[in-house]
Amino acid sequence: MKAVREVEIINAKEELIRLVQQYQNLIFSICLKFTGDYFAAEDLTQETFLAAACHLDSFDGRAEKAWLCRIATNKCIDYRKSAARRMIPVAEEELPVMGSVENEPLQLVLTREAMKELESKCRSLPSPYAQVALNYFIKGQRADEIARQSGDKPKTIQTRIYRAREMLKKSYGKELLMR
Amino acid sequence: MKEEKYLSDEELLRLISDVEKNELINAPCDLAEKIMAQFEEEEKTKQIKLNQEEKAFPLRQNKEYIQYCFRVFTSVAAAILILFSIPSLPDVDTASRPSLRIFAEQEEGKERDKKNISGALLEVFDSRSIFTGDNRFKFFTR
Repeated sequence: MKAVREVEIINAKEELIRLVQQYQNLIFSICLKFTGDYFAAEDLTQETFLAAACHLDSFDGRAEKAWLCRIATNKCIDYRKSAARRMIPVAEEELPVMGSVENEPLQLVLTREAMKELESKCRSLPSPYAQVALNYFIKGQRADEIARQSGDKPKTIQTRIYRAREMLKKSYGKELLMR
Repeated sequence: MKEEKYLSDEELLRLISDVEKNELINAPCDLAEKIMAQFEEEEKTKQIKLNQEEKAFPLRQNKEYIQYCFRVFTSVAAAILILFSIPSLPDVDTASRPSLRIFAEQEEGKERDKKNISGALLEVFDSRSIFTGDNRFKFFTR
């Protein structure tokens, strides 16, 4: 029994690695389009792949991409619904309405604007954290690469990344409440 | 607030092609590691729960053990049933059962032999006269 279970776990893990490597950019882009929040998109992407790993045995293997994107979009819509419930009630006209798929430019703009907004927030961080945040979140460099470039210890860079992330999340949270 | 509906199949496919055609955003560099770490964490938690259930209820997991227990219990129940039904069986006459007669004769023979042996031993002890005079203390000091 234990051996069978271990084999199942190994198979699920291998399948998950394959899915992540193949579709992480697509799923992340979709989540960012829906949420406009880099960190929320990151969390939703993670939840999407973990949910897919849990339900691999019930998946028939057809239209894998559509299946994953369906999970992602449903999670994004649920996130928007719960975020809307947490928001301070305002007039209906002032609420950002999610563009339907026909409004293509709106979604594109949201994605690019989301990355520009993140970049400006990174630049507005205090001195040791701003450069680290730009290198990590915008340029996509790893902590050890940043450490090599700056000459700092990897542990120091990791701490700065962690703190920068917390500060950025707080600023996103404040904006959500103010909307 | 307008209620947001889930996307239809057509809308979903259009969204996918739109995202793929235009520039994709790169996912965070450590996202894959975070996902795998979270997956392993969840699997560990599941395994711990399974182990706890196995310890609390081992019978659930071992079908063979359950079948073995069932066989043992039915055998014990059958043995007890037979034991309680013996008094209701008719009395057996030794003469009418040759095997029992032979057994009874053997037992009588053994009793006779025992008596002969014990008699012989007593004679031996008397002839050695351990309780008579001069040899008494010599016997005990050997």
